[in-house]
Amino acid sequence: MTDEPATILNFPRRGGWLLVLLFLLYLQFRIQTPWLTATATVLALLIFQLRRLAGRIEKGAINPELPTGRWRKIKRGIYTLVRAIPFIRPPRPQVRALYGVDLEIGQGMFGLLGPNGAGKTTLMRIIVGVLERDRGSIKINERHLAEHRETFHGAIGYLPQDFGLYENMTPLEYLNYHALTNGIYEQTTRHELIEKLLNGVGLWERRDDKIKTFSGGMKQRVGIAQTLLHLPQIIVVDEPTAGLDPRERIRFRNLLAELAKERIVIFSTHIVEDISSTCHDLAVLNGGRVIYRGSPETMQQKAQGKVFEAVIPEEEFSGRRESLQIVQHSKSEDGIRIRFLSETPISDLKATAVEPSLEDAYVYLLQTSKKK
Amino acid sequence: MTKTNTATLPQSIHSALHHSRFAELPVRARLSVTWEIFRLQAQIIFSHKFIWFMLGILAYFIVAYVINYKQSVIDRLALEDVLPWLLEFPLAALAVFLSMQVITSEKDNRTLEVMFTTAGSRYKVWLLRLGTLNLILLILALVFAVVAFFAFTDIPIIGIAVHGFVPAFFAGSMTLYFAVRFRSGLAAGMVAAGVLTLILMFTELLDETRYFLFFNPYHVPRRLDPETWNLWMWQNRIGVLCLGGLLLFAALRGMEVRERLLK
Repeated sequence: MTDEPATILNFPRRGGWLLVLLFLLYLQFRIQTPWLTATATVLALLIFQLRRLAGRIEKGAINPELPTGRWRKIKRGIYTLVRAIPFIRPPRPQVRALYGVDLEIGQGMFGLLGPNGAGKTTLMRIIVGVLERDRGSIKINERHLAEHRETFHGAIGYLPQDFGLYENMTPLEYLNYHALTNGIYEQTTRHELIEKLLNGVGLWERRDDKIKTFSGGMKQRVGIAQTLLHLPQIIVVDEPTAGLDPRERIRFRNLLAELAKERIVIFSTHIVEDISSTCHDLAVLNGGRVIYRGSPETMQQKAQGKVFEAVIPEEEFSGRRESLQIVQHSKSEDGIRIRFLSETPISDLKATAVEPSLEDAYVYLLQTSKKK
Repeated sequence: MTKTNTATLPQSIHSALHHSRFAELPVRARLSVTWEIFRLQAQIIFSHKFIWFMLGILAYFIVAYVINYKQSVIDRLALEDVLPWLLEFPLAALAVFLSMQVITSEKDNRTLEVMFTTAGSRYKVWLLRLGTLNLILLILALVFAVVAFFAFTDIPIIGIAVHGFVPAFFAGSMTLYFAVRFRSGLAAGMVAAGVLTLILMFTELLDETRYFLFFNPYHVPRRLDPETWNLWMWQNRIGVLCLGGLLLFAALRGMEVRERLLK
């Protein structure tokens, strides 16, 4: 017997099948429709079997991603189905995304840097009130977000990482819809506002085109216009430059920097270049923990004396790649020029210490936090 | 590509904004806002192959008309047949289809997260969407009733439309509840269709009681007097609407568990 609580999901294992049998007998005697009883019996047996299979997947006895044997394609389909059926699928494991994050953010552009899976999106979602935190608190001007969430939604503009738009609408219709749902009812004000926003993001000329005809960058700009609709004093953007071409990325960064002159912009990204060119204050998140908080310049200093450059013969490169933390490499006339991180100079290598970049410092911080 | 003029973005835009409460607006402006919200919500609801479903229903009506026309006069659809066959069943199917899209379409469009940060009441956006959806169903019930009146037999158009709408409202609310519970529109649609099929399988047992979802007020059983049937009709309709309302409320409560829906 397992320790799991008795629920409708595991009742067959607890002799609940007796209840099902009694129900089927009752059904037969009460309605006297054999085909109905037979259908119900088959259904019950099928559910029991699927639940058993889900239990085996849960225990790891079956790898649903890599089924073996002649019927593996069919098996994979069945496993996929089992994992999708509510009440039958095995429970997903809980993941702790953040550990003791303590940040105070003021006006201007604040960068949140971290690798994929660092907890940036979870933090962003908690800041904007989309997700509830398990413990701790978030305060805006000394008022708790949890207690005034809906009021604060009027003060926060949020552009999620993986956001979408109603593609069959024009930007004009899309912004009109969001303006109305955000309570901007007065027609003249609404229209003036939308016109100014669309002009601001350079889409006024395309106002009557369907969003589905737009490029990724243009969609991002519709997104930012929507984020600004309700006068947010705090703008939270989660990896907004991912997937944009370099020109669009620069344009978007400049737009955010312009907005940050009068409000708080929290800008999460895993692209160091985005932060270095726009943020005066930043935090680095790794494995759910804040591993650095301060200015980009101070962060750069953290890697002072830890970044080296050397030229090595081509045949040595693969071996060195294993032993050194190489952050950059390029081919040169004498061999391969490498830029690497090290706590101390490497004795068998003619390497010179160089001025660290923000990217070097970022990699160095990630590396040291990993060691800890 | 148009050049971005970022200089116009900051404070100048925001100083122009003035929030008026809906109730403070003049009647004309209120009507205009209501229409605009309805139009945009309908545009979102209709964007998902709804047209194909409507064409399916049109085909269903045409087939029903042809079959009915080929029957002898005595066997043609009468008043009591019109409600289940031409209103309740197609409308319930439509309600299931539209309700299973409510959350799924937002998830597919990746607009759910933005919806969760809408300022004001937590239920506002969903209630507007569901209100529009049910209004569409009611309008369609009226359209179906008018079509049935002209193409099939004389019927009380308003009454039959309202009776056709009640089970559709329940079916829609039930589907939405399942969609929230299962986080899958397709699974919700399948389960809701299963429940409705199960109810229909028990028709013979239930159709002369007050507990039948597709209660037919125009089909008075011989063993009952019309007054009792009328009383049962009220009990049934109020009960179904209340149950539908409860499911809707449970679904709205479930929508507040944002973490589950965002997975």
